Amino acid sequence: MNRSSMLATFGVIITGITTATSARAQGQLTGTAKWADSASREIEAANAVGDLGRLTNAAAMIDRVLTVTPNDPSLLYYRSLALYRMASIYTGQKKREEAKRALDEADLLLEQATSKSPTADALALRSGVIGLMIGSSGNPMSGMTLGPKAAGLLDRAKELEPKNPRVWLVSGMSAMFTPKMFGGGTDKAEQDLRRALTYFETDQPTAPAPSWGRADAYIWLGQALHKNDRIDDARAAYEKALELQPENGWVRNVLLPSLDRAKK
Amino acid sequence: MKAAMRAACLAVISAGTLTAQSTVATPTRTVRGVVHGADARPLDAANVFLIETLEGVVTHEDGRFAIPTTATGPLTVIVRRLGFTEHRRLIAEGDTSALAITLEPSGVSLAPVAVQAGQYTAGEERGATLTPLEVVTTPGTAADVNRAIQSLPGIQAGDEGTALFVRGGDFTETRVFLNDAGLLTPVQLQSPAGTFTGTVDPFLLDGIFFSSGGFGARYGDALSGIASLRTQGRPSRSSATASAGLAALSGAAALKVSPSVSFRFAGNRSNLEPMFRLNGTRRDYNPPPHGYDLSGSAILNYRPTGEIKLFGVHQTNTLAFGVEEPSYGGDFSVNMDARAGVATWHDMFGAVAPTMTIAVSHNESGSDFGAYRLTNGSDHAQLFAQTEWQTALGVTVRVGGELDRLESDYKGSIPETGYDVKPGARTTVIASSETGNRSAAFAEADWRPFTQARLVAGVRTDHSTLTDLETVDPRLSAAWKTFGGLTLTAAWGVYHQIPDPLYFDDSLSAGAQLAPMRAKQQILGAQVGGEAQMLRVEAYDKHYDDLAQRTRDYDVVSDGTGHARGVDVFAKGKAPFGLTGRVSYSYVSSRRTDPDAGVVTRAPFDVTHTATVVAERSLLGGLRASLAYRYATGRPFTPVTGSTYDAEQSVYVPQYGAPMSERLPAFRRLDFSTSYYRQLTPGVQSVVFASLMNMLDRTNAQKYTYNPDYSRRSVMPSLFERSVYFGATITWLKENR
Repeated sequence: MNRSSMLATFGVIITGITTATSARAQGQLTGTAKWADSASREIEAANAVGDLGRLTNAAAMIDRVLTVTPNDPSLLYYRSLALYRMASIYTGQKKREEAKRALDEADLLLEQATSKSPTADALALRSGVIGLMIGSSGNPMSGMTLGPKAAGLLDRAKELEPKNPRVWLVSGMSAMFTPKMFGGGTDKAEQDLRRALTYFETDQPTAPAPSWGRADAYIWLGQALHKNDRIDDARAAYEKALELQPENGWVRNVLLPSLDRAKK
Repeated sequence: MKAAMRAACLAVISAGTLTAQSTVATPTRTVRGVVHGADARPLDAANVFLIETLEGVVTHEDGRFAIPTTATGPLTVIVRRLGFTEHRRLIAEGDTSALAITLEPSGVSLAPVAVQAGQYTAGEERGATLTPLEVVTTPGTAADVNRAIQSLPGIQAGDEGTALFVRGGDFTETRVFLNDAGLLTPVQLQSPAGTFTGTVDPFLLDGIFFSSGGFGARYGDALSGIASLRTQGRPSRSSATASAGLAALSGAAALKVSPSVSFRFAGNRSNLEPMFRLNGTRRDYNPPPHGYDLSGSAILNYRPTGEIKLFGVHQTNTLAFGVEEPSYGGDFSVNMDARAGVATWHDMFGAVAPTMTIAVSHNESGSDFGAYRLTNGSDHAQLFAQTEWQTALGVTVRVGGELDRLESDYKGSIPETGYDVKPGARTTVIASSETGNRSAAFAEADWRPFTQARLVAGVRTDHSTLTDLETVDPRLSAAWKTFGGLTLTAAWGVYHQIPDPLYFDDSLSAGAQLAPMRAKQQILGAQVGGEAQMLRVEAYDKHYDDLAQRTRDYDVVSDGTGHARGVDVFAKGKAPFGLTGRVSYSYVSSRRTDPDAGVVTRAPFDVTHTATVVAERSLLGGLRASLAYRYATGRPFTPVTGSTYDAEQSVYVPQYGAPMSERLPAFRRLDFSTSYYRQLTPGVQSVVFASLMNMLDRTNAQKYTYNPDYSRRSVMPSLFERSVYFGATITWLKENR
C-alpha cells in the first residue's frame, strides 16, 4: 500500500466514524443504509406511477454504489426490487426480452444476497422474480423446473419470518397464477393476501429494511375478488390501495374501470 | 492508485452523498459522448458513471450522455446496461473529446465471473454446468453419479466401469469428497479399469463439483481430479418417495420436524438378476451384482446462516462372474461393505464463515479368483476445518487444515506371477497392516478486482508418516470475462498424492523407497456463454514424477515419470426441433513409465479420443426423451506374442511384445431413456421411466483374454448387451401451511 492510498484509507475511516457518530446522535442513516433507504422510496414512488425512467434511474444509482460495496445486502435487495418492478412494466408492454434481462439480473443479485445470510424478504422477492420469469417466458414447460424452485424459496421465507407481510403478499400473488389443482387459485390467493394485510397492520420495519407492499396487497386482493365476481369487495380493495397510493395509475385507469365494465 | 480511488469512493458512500446531487461546487469539466450497440444503433437506459466520484447519468433514446464533474486528474468512465458487457474507458485530464462507446451483447451483463479452469458443477447454483435433473436423466448412466460425471470432458472412460480416469491419469488420482470428507479410492489389483459398484446415489445429492484439474489449495492428496459431492440439506417440506425398477427397489423420506430440525432417510436394494433374465447377458454371474445401501441424515438449522448436518451411509455390494484366464477359468467374486459417518458444521459471523467436518469410515472388501484371495479392511478418520473471511477490499481469504488417519489391513495371498493364477499356484502371502497419518494446512486468497475478473492464489503443505516427507504445493488460477461474453481462464499448480498404503508393504515393494507422487499442471481455457448455452475449450499439460506403480506380477516399483497433454471441448445449448443437448470431446496423449518394461510409453489409459453426445427433448404433457452416444478410442495394452511351457508349474509363460503397442477395439454405445412426469394431485407426483441401453447391441471389449498356450486371443465383452430397463417413482409432498 503506497502513501496516497494509506492516506485515502485513513480519510475513509475518519469520514466514516465522524459521519456515523454525528448521524447516530441525530438518529439518521449513514452510508449505504442511507442510499438503500433513498432508493426504496424512489422505487415505490416510481412504481406507483408506472414511471419506467425513474425506476431505471433508481436502479442505476444503486448500481453505481454497488460498484464500491458489491456485497451490501440492502443495496443488492433494492436493485433487485427495482429490476423486478421494471420487469413487471416490460411484461405489460410485451417487451419480453427486456423483462427477461431484468429478471435474470435480479435473480443473480438475490442469489448473491441470500447465499450467505438469507432474509425472508430477499427469499420472497427471489421467489416473486422466478414466478414472473415463468409468467413472462412464454414457455409453459418452464413452470416444471422453476415452479418448485420458487415454491422452495417461499417456504424458506415463511419459515424464517412466518409473519412477514411481504412473504404472504408474494405467496398470494403466486397463488393467483397457480391452478387450483396444484394448490393455488383465487380463494387461496385471497386467504394469503388477507393474511399479508393483517401482518401489515403491525409491520414497522426500521429503515432501510423493506417496508413496501401494502398497496400491492390491496391491488392483488382486488384482482382476486374481481375474478371471483365480488365486484363491490374488489372496488373496496382498490380504493384502499388508492388511499395509500393516490397517484397509482394502474388502479385508477385500468383496474377500477374494468370493474365498471364488469358491472355493466 | 486503485486503492486510493476505491477509498475515495468509500468516502463518498460513507458520507451518504453523491457529488452530482450535492451541487455545491461548480463543475470544471464535462465528460460527454454517445453509447451505441454493435449494430451502431444508440442505446438508451445505459448507466454511465465515473468510478472516482460515482457521478453519472442514464442515457435516453439518442444514447447521448454528459456528466458535469469537479473531479481533476484522469477519470474512468464505466458504462453498464442490461444485456451488454460492462465497458470501461480511461480518459486523460485534458481530454475533452466526445466519447463513442460501443457495448457488446452478453447474457447477463453484470454476472460475476464464476468459471474457473478445469471446473464443472452440477446443482441449482448459477453457473452450474449440469443441473441435477440432467445428471439423473443422462441415458446410460443408470442414475450413477460417476457415470454422469463421465459425460463431462476430460474423462477417459473407454469401458462401462464407473472409475474416473481424468486427463490421462489413473482413476486412483481422482479423489471423491462427500460433504468435505474424502472417500477412499483403493487400488484395484484385479480390475485396473476401475470399479463397477460403490458410488453414491445421485438422489441423495443436491450439488456436484467436479474439477478435471487446476483445483485450489483446499484439495490435497490428489494428482488429477476432484469430485466433491454435497448431500441434500434441509427439506422445504416433508415428503416420501417410493421407487421400483427392474433391478432396484428404493424408498426415501424427508421429515421436517420443525423449521430448524429435519431428517432424511433413504434405502435402496439393488439386484441385477431380473434385468439379466429379461435381457440376457454375455457373462455368467453367480450371483449377479446385488447389494443395498441405507443412509440417513439429521439437519439442524439453528439460525439462518448456521447448519449442523450429520450424514451416515452403509453400502454393500456383491457379485461374481465367470472369467477365463489362460491358466485358470472360474468365478471372480467381489464383495464390499462400506460404512461412513460425516458431521459437518458451517455458519457465518459477519464476514467470517467457518466450516468443520469430522468423518469416520470403515470399508471391508474381498476378492477371490483362483490363487488370488485378498481381503482389505480400512479405517479412515478425518478432521477438516476451514475459515473463510470476506475482506472489505473484495478479497476472500480461506485458511484451513486437515488431519487424516488411515489404517489399512490387507490379508490373503496373491499369485507370485500374473500369468499363473490357478488354485495351488505359487503365491505371496500378504499380511500387511499400514497406518498413515497425514496432516495438511492451506491458505488461499480469492480476489475479484472487478466484476469481470477473478484471481485465486493459494498454497498447501502436506506431511504423511508413510513417506515421512513434507510437500509444498503452490497453486494459481485466474479468470477474466472479456468482450462478447468470452471468459479466459488459466491455472497452474503443483499437486502431490501419497501412494496407496498397500504399496508400502515390504512383500510387494521389495524395499523400494516411495515418495509422494507429484504432478505439475498447466491449463489454458476459454468459455463463451453461460449455463443454458456455452462453449468451452481447455488445453492442458501435466507432468508426473515419483509415480508408484505395480507390475503385472503385483510388485511395486517407484520413480515412474510421465506426462499428459490434451484438449477438452464442451458445448451445451439448443439444437433444431426443440432439442437441447451437450457435446463433450477430449483429446489426450498420455505417456508414463511402463512398470514392467521400465520405459516411458503410452499409459494404459491413453484413450486418444473420447466423445459423448447427449440430446434431450421435452415433449408435451411432462414427457421427456434423451439419447446419448459415447465413443472412445480403444485402451492400449501390451500384447502377448508367444509362450513357453513351464513343466514344473504346469503353466504356459507368456512372452510380451512391445509395451502398450496395441489397442482394444474402440468403444461405442448408444443409449436412450424416456420419462413421463405427472402431478396426480397437488401433493402427489409420479414419474414413469424407461431406458434402452446399448441400443445398437455392440459388443464392446473389456480386455483380451487368451487360450491356455496364448496362441489365440478373444475379446472379453463388457457387461451390457442391448437391455431394457423400466420403473416408476411416486412422491408425496406434505403441504406447508
